[in-house]
Amino acid sequence: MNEITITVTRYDPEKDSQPYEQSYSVPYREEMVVLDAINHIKDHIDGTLSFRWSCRMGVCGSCGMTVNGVPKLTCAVFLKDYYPNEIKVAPLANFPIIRDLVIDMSDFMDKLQEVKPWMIRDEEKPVSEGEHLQSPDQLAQFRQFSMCINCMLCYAACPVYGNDSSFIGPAAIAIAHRYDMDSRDQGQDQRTPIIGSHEGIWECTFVGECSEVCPKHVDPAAAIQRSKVQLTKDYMLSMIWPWGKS
Amino acid sequence: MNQETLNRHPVYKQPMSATWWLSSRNYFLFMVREVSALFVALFAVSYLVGLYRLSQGEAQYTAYLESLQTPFAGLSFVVILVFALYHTVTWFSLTPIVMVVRLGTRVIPPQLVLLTNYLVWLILSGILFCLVGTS
Amino acid sequence: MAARLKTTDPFWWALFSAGGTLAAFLLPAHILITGVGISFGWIQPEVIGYQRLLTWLEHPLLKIYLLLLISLSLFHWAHRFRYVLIDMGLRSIKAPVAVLCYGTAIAATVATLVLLFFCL
Repeated sequence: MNEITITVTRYDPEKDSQPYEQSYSVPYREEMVVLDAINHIKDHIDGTLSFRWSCRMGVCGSCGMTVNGVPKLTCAVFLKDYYPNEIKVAPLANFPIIRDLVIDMSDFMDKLQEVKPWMIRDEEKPVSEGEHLQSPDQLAQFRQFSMCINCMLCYAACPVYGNDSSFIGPAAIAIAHRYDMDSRDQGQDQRTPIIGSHEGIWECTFVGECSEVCPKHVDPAAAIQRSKVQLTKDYMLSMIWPWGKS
Repeated sequence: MNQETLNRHPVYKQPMSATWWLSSRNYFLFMVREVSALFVALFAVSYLVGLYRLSQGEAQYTAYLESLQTPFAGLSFVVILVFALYHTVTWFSLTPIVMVVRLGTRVIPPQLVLLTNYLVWLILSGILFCLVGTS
Repeated sequence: MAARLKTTDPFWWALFSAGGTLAAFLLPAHILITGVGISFGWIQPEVIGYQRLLTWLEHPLLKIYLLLLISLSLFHWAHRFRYVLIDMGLRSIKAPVAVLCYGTAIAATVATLVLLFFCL
């Protein structure tokens, strides 16, 4: 039976002053993903290992971890791409560790809500008036930014967020952009003060790693840079014509 | 996490390494790209110095021109050129991401935007060569 | 509207972008001609000789071109360098660093303006 070494970060807040590494030998099969290996550890070797996972098919965003230094969804990373070398699995970077591979995501949840990621209308359209109509072109304007599964890999990849957690971050800005670009939404003026603040888009230095690691090809970096262009245009216009819209 | 939970189970704040930008190829190339701005600035400053020498009269300016022909200057300009080229290439590669160019409802493909940038660059550089390089 | 104006970030970013674009399109040729070219003797220094340059600089358009080239390149550097330091982990002296960076660019712009329009 072939085996592979999985080295996992362990941390028990009641016992340890800081995290440490623990290695396990896990049976290797070609079709296994890292999540399978970690589940094997918990089920057969060490039941104390804690981690988050759910759908195991890349849609829930729960199983994000750092695999050999790169943020990944562990359900989408095959052991065969590393075998026979050791695989190091650590918690997602840039987030505080609660225990083992479980991180505290409350900052992310706060930021997500901060940008008002829902349809904002000046007046709600009554059901009797029917649906909002939208052309394929209009849908194309925001569709990719709606694909976010809130897996936080982008935050783990972002050195700006790593250095300063007051940065609103890629996913939050991408979802704000998604709504701003939706023809049915009328809430851009409410989101602009949030994403247009210094802790919003302006802290971003376009490292671009967020888009590199995104498993859903949302391209948050594009959302951020396009917002910079848009808000700069607005800023210039408001300088020249302060009595502008709204 | 609420404060009550935090009091019982303090979270461990992962430290950010000061050399994070050395930890991966992408991060390193990002830092190189950012540092290229320094060499862009150095060249601009050399123009400023040149203008100053120009204002000081022919003798000073000629001395400045002579200082451009030293090996140190040569090496500096080569280094500056390499970084300036890296700036140009990375700037062009980022432009299609930053700006979505539309003609009506049609989106101009990013490859075409990229190509246009390079073409304009070639044309402008050619014009500069003709204007300055020839007497 | 007022909330939008609270931060001056868009202003500095606009200068950074303009500078980056100018530098991307124009600087390599400038460096090759007046830098590397002259240093390695491929181009005669007379090409930017004293008299020739003074004659060129009689045209206000050329003065404006040089002003923009120098000034915007420095604003490009200032914004990027400020954020490089922040990305490297700078925390406590963020404000003085910003003042130093943009201040240098402003000083250089003023110096270039004075030289081009008052001394030459």
